[in-house]
Amino acid sequence: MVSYNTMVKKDYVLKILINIVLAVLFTAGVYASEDRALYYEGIRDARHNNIDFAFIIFDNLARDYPSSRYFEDALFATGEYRFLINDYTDSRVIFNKIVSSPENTKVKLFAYAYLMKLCEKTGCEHKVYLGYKKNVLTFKQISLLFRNSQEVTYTSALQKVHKAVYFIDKVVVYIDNEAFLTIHF
Amino acid sequence: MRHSLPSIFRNIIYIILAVFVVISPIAVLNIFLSKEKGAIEEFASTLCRQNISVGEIRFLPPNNIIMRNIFFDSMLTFDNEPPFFINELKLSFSLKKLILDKEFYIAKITINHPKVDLSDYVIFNLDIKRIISALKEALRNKKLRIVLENGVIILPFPNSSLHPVVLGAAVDIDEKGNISSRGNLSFARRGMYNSTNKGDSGFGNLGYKLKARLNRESVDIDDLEIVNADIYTKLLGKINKNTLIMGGMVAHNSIVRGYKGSFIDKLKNLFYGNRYAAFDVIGPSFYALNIYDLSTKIEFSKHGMAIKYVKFSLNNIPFCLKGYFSFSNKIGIDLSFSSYPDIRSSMNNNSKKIDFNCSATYSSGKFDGSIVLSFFKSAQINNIHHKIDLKLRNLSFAFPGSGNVRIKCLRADVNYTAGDNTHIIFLKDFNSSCDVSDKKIKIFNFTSRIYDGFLKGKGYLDVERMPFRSSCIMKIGGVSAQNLRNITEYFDKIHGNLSSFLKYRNHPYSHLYGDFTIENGYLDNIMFFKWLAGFFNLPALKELHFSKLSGKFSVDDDASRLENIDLKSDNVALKGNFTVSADDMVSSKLYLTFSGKLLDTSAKFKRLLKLLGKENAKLVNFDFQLSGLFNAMNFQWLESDFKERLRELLPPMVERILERRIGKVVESISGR
Repeated sequence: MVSYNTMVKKDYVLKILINIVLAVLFTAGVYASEDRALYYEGIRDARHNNIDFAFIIFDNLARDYPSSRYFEDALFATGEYRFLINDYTDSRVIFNKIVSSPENTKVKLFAYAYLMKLCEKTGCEHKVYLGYKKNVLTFKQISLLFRNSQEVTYTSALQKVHKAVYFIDKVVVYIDNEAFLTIHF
Repeated sequence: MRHSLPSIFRNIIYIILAVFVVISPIAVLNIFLSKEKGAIEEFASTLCRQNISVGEIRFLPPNNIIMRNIFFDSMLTFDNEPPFFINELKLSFSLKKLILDKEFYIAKITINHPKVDLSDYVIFNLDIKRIISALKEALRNKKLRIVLENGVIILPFPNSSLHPVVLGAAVDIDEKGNISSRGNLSFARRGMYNSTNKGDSGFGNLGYKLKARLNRESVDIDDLEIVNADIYTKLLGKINKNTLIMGGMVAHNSIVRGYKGSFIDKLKNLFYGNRYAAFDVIGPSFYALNIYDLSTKIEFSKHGMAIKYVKFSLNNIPFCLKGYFSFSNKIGIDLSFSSYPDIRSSMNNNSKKIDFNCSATYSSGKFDGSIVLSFFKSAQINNIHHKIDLKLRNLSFAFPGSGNVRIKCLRADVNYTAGDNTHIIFLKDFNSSCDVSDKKIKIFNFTSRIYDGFLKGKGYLDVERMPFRSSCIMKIGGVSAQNLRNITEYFDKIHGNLSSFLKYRNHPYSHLYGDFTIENGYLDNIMFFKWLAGFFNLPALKELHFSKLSGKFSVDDDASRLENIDLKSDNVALKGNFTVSADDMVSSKLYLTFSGKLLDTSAKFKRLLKLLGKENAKLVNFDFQLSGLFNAMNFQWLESDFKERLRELLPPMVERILERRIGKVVESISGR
């Protein structure tokens, strides 16, 4: 038979545990909703063509929420913005950070494309350029029975549509339907 | 008359007495020396740590002791020929010291016709420390001159017309222990040692000059110069107990000669300073071949010689040689030679990093052992590590004359690794002949058995420029293609009788190319045909017999290419090309033709052809293009009449389903 005091103690411990769990969930929820709110605020600005404000938001998001699920998209957007304003040095640093991650995502594919373009504009070691090229070409394995190409599409946080069209002998990267880069096998 | 007869007798008696007086001490001395021969042999044996045998010992007036036929009798070979032999050893003692100071000391040693035969193993079990100590003790404030005349070193190449090496030298040691020596090794000429020879006279001569000091248990080498027509070496160091330590440099000798200058030039130099060059540059500089910062440490023991290190810098690259020579039962060699010796081969991406290892035993004129060479070579993206591992059995060299070198090897296993790719070749009864008489171009030809076929070829090596340039042509015939699967794994699934004509050159880049033909063979379950067989229900494609498969190939640092592929069989024809680049990227077009007879064997195909109205088709073409990574190839079915008709027939949804299915199958196929 359990004594009264033991039962009281057990209730007390249980209450503390529940409060801790609730506090963690609440805090996580707060943080989760903060980065999400920032992200979508940035999206709204980008849709209204306020890409400078959008950049500031994404820059803050990438800096303050490195574990956020929106981190990679936000980081890509900052790299994309710096490329657009011809800040090639910082742009290269950001895209190199993206490609250094272990996951193989669409964001990484287009980061490699930007890095190739940066090499063409500002120069880089030939071996490094070839490494980027190989990563773009081999990102996707394609089989073309009746089609002539397959596509990989990604819309960035700055609302630019990035499309990589894979042919059997080349890959063409478009940004908002304008040819950005052509890479031959 | 009566008076002259007795005086004649008297004179004769005087002469006889005089001869007797002169000869009898000589005779007595010779008898004494004969009796002491055993003691002398024992003393020499102790000093040299070998059983020394002396054939004859006698006194030669006025001051010489002659020993003849001296050899190490523990080293007789099976034909009782001693590999180390001295024809005559003459010890000249100082008569003046003997008479005035009653002191017997040897002032000059002349070694005439010493012979060392390296055809069989020679054990030099010399205790250098003891020899130095004995010499120092014996000489104590005395002078000694040692002259070596007509020394012969017979090289270990049987059936060779190569002249043995002829050696002449003189060593002078003064009262203070200062040593001065000069000598000459000659490959091309036999001749007497000439004390005025400066050691740089013509082809095949190597001269040396030495200045050193004899200490109690060591010798300090103050200056050693070794010179021939091409090389100038300057060294200094020390022999301490049984260890030799030296340092110095080696330079190419062909471009600088001392400028003697006329008397007027010298006078002008005296008054106006050195306005006239002391040296005259007469040719191009081979700076890249000069060796600096040379330092060596070698230890001698009764079992052999340990090269602790030979370090030097060549063209600003550090090198190190280490190893061991063993002289116990057989001659054993274990050497390693590296650039950047402090860096491990696997940890370095430096294209100037090389490692060479040689481990072999030598007996009866043949080598057995292995040689490993590894280096990095620049490629498009990274430097690739290459390694050549040679295992050799019964390797021998012969020099039949006229500048020819013959190389024979009973078996050579060649294992060549480049990056992740390994290629193995087994050669038997390798024979090669090389003409080295020309200084610039060396021409060679070779034959060998390779598996069940033959390999033969010829080529040249241009040694005038660095790196050496080479080119050769080869023919392979009668080899079962599958035996070559160790060279490249593509042959694992190809059967047939292979013949090939190959060319190779290394300049301006490494390039192997040629053509091949495989006859009366089959392709065994090649992945691509296996999939076609499954998809189209054509089992004949799994084991595709052909009468002939031919093509051209080309391999260089950028890519491996197969071109003009042409496969002829009863039911299938294949043409096309296939290229894999150094970074594993594929580029290929293949044109496949199936005969109507083959298609008739597939119910699936018969139905399809009927649908397309092509049931009577004699041939159907399938053209493919491949690209992308070798292990994850992209695939496209190229346009054709058949494909166009099929597309018209299929609804879009079926097209998409087929695309997905094909996509999954293509992903599951690796390139191998």
